[in-house]
Amino acid sequence: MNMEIIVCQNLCKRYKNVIALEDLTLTFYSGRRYGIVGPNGAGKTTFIKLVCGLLRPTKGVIRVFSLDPWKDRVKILKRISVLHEETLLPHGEKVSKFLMFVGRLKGLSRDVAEKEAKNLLNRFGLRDKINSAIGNLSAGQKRRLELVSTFMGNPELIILDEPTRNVDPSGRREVMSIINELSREMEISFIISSHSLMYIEEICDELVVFNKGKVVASASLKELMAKYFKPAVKIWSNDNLKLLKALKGEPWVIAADLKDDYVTVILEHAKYNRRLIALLHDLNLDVRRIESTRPSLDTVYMKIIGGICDEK
Amino acid sequence: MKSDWIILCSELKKAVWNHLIFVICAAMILALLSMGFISECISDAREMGGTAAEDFSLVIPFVATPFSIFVAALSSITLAVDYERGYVKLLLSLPVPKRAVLLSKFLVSVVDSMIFYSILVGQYVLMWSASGMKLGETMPTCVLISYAITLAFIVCAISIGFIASVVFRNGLRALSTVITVLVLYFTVTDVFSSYKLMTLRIGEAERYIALIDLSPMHVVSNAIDLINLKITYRPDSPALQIIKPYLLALTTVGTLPNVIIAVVLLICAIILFIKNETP
Repeated sequence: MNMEIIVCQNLCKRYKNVIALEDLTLTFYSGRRYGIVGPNGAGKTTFIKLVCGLLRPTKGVIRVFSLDPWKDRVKILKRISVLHEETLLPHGEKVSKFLMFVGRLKGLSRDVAEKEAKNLLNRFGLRDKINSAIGNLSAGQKRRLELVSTFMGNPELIILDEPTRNVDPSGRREVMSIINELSREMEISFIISSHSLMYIEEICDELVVFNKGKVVASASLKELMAKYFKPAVKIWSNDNLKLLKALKGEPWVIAADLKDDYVTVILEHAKYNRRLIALLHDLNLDVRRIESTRPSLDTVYMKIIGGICDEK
Repeated sequence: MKSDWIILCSELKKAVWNHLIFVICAAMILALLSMGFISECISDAREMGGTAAEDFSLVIPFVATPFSIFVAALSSITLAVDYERGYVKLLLSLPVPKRAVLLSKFLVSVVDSMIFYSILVGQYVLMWSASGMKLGETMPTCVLISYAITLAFIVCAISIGFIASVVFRNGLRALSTVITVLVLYFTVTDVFSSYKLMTLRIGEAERYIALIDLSPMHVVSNAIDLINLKITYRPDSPALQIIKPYLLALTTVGTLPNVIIAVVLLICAIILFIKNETP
């Protein structure tokens, strides 16, 4: 059964005259992978800091595992792991010592911490860096090391704020696929805040969109895709004009346009694909090629954020 | 409790590598510089007759005490540096109580300054012993009392350092603030202590003396003088009847406000650190 892990009710956070979060009412359930997206300054990082008890809410209530993060920070942090946006590592220390330190603080015995550290370093491609000084690692390796420390101690919830920051594009894909694998293996609840929507789409099954301190959309990825994504189809046929004329008369077609040698159709919903095929059959056209655009989170995100801007 | 120990051990290990070596070197340099002064005291004592305990109030309070207070303040500024580096944020993102972070920093600063103080006290004792002079029966009490009173001032300096660190979260700003506050405190109390407030008559001699002396150096010096009264004056000396209550009053009046200030400042620093957010 999915339990409530984070409950926010009318949560507000102000920094002097700046409103970082306003009237946030939101619930996160266990066993799910949440993606938090939004433009810079939308309140994503403030929300994460409120969850791990680094900040105190100005107004409203936040409960993590039914506990108040500001008062019961230690109890909560025994069950959750947080990776902050900025790199926070003691540069003078060795990789192994740092991981042992984190493991011991998370309640692991020396042996278990060592075993877990080695295993995770191996997974994140840092096996040969175990005896290196943290200061000698590259920015990307430091980020991987922080990820290793986040996964230590079998947390129930992992919060990652920009996990692929400073990681090169090929490494980014690798890191995200490791996170994806580990999240499925360890059955941990996840909250990932990132600007890389491609990876959010790959890993997460729920999406929360922040904008100007408010949650503007919160639902499963499938629901949001269905709501905001209008499927587009490109058709190459022997009589594009005839096809265009027929399409414009259909109520389930939002728009149809003639390009160089093909027709672009935007459908009301993906379920009308069958009707389109039937129409092509009825028109008795010689269809050479059909291409359907894949729904992408980028499009959905832009529609949600763009829609808000348009309304304003 | 376990995490408190882990943090404390980690901070102490870090201190050994990062600044304890610097503290020891600084103490050695100061010890070298004060060597001539101690040698002079020893040769005077050899001519006039005297012990290490009698001259203890001349050297230790005016050399070791003020520098140890500054060392404590500088060591406490590492909290501001850790804020800047994000190390405090890293620790507070792990299941570590805030009190453990502050307690470990506090103990590291106390250890730093006490090691500094001990090197100077050790040098004093060693030089007297090496020259074949007597240490004096009150020497252990003198050392203990000087440690106790200096510790009160050290706690004061560490608390000021913590408050500045939490408020500014910037090493340089915290450092300049703490140094300014300490220099002002030393200067003001020193000026105030030299202001004539009372006339003391011992026989035919007349001495103008301060009734309240909050200067750290004078408070430690007065406390040591008080301990040494039985070896510096004959038991039947009439001066002893006047000097003893005066020094007792001066030591008490000098120590108590400083202890109260130290405790209040420490409580303020703890509350400030615990109640403060870590953005």
